[in-house]
Amino acid sequence: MGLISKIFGKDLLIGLNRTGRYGVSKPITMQYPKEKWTPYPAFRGTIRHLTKETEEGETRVRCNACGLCARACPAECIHIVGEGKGKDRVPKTFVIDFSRCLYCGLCVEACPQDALEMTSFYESAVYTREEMVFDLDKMLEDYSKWERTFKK
Amino acid sequence: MDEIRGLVVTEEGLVEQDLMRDTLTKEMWVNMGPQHPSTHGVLRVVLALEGERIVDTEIYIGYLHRGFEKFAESKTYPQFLPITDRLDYISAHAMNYGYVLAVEKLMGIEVPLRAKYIRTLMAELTRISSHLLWLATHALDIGAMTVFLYCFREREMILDLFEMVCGARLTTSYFRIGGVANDLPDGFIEKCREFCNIFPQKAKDYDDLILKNRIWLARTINVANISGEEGLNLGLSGPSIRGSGVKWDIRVSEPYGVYDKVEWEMAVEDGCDVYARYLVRLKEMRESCKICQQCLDFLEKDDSGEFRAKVPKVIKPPEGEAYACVEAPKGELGFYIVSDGSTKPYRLKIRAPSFANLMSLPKMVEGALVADVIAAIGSIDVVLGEVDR
Amino acid sequence: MGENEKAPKKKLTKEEAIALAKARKAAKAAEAAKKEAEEPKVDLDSLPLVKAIKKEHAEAIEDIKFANNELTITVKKDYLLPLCRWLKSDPETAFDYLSEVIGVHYPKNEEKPLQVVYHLFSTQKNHRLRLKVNLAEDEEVESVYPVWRSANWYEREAYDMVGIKFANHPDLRRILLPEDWEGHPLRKEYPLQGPEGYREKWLRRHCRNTNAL
Repeated sequence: MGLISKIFGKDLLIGLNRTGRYGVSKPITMQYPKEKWTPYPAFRGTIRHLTKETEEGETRVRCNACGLCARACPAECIHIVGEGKGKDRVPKTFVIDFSRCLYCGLCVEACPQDALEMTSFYESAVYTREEMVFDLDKMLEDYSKWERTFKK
Repeated sequence: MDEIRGLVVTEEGLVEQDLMRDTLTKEMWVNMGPQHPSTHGVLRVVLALEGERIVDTEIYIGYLHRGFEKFAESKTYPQFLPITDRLDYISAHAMNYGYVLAVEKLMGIEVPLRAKYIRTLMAELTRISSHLLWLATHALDIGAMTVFLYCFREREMILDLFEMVCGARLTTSYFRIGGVANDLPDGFIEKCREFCNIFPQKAKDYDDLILKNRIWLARTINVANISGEEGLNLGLSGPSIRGSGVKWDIRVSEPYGVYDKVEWEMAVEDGCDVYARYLVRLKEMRESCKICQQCLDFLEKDDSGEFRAKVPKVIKPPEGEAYACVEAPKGELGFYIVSDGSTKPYRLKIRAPSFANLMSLPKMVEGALVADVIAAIGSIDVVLGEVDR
Repeated sequence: MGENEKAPKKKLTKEEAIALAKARKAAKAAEAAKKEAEEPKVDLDSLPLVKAIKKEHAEAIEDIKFANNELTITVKKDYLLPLCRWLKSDPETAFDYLSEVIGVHYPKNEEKPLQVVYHLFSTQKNHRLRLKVNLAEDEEVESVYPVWRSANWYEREAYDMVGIKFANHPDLRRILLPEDWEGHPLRKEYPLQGPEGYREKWLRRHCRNTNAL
């Protein structure tokens, strides 16, 4: 038996059988720029800011510049300068340097106001390093169209 | 140099004599790496050759040194967690697991049962994905291209599961001190069950391709031998030492998580060679799949929703020290933390399995051929991110 | 005006904060004392490992600690190698695996600022032990390379990172850092991003393209 299987190359045939079967089945790969991957709801993409409606009916940023996210960040890429006091406190500048960001989501978890959340945006390649530094306006508006994903 | 007898034309006619008598052979030094396709990163091996036999091996590491241990001293305990992902970047969950276990031991935190099951499930999925990557690249190094594509297909399914749970595929940072970041999402259990059901069939595919392939057998059997005793002496751990007949698995000897509650079998082979290590890892994948099934059984029934223990907002372990180790896909991964009572570790030492495993490479390839070095490096499964830290 | 209002408020909170902190500290101390009283004291001499070591090598022991379910023995420097030899060969202890060698720097201990920690494991008996050796700045500790071959790289790493010198080590060089690196990064006085000006110095020494500076 051993000799016969050796002559006919049994092990080779078993391998070829397997390969041949997959040769005619549907491919599992994706043609990326044409087809796009939809991330799962837990996906950790670019961070954006959220707004809230106050009692007077005006829309404003949820963030009150407490600085907990900056303290939680392992990469130290969040820089905040606050303005005002108490309930009126808002961030004067809120800058995230995404070229340093780890996308770990610790800032979102740390936020007591639920002001930050992560979006499904993943194609974040740009031409210069300066474009990777996002300020508050950019995080409020440019990414509002993306699906809301990671939230604690 | 061995004597080779042969006929030589001399003044007295044909005379049988040692052919190597007048041949001068010099030791030759060959530099393998740091940029070599089979070194899986930036490992540099300098081989001293006599003919094609290796007489001496010198390993140079440190090309990927990022100073994590120094870095840890300037970060708080939760902040260091995402950094542990970058140690062995293809099995991030296992790295997280070792770190959180060490901090929990230091603080005396008891983790809820559900969180333990989730952690075990994730650690085992990581083991499968890490072994799949190992099988793919190891087979590719030796010359079997097809296995690579098949393994990556299944690995992709596991990475999808990871993305579903924690939103990242590679650098997951899903574990937290006291539990995990969030509960399992809807539909995860079904999807994971689907994977666990089809995986044994897929594992059979790999067997069909290379288990009895003659080229594979010739390249792996009796190559890079190391006995169990020698391996332990040289610091070998994990699947590599179990391929030398040593029955030591931290999941059995010092059970953490729920490994004492699930049924599975330790994979041990007596071959001591590359082939034995290959068999051990293949069996481990199947056993991991079994553990996953049992974890899913529990998680399906359990509706407690407790995925995180109550921990203080500011993590400040008491003064002291702790060493916690887990069975990472590569071997014993340990974290030794010295705390001085502040929010930052005073000293954190990472005991990386690949670093210790690499030490036995010179012993394995002593007297072997150059081509065997590639099989040997593949068989101990080094990840340079972990070696250099 | 605004500042005037602020000042008394702040003072009050400060006093309050101090009082609160004091109260909290007292509560914590009481809790710790309670915990200590509740926790069953482990009788060190009843542990089989301690018994065995005390019987054979009582003179080597400086201090024994049991915390977090881990046994720690501080060893006198000169007795380390014979103790390790015995720990490996004795069938009762059978420590056949050296997990790691760690160098720790305690600049506060002025007499003996350096510490070497050894983690041992026995695959046969399935127990762990931590050995510690305290060293002065210029002291050398005997290498355990003759007992466990794996000490080779571990000790090289401890030398590289903390600057602990091991006597009779076969090949004590730097392992992770380049050969001509200055200083030992895991010492406490070493700044996180290196000493001032070291980067420029390093680049000047090794970078052919000086425009990179």
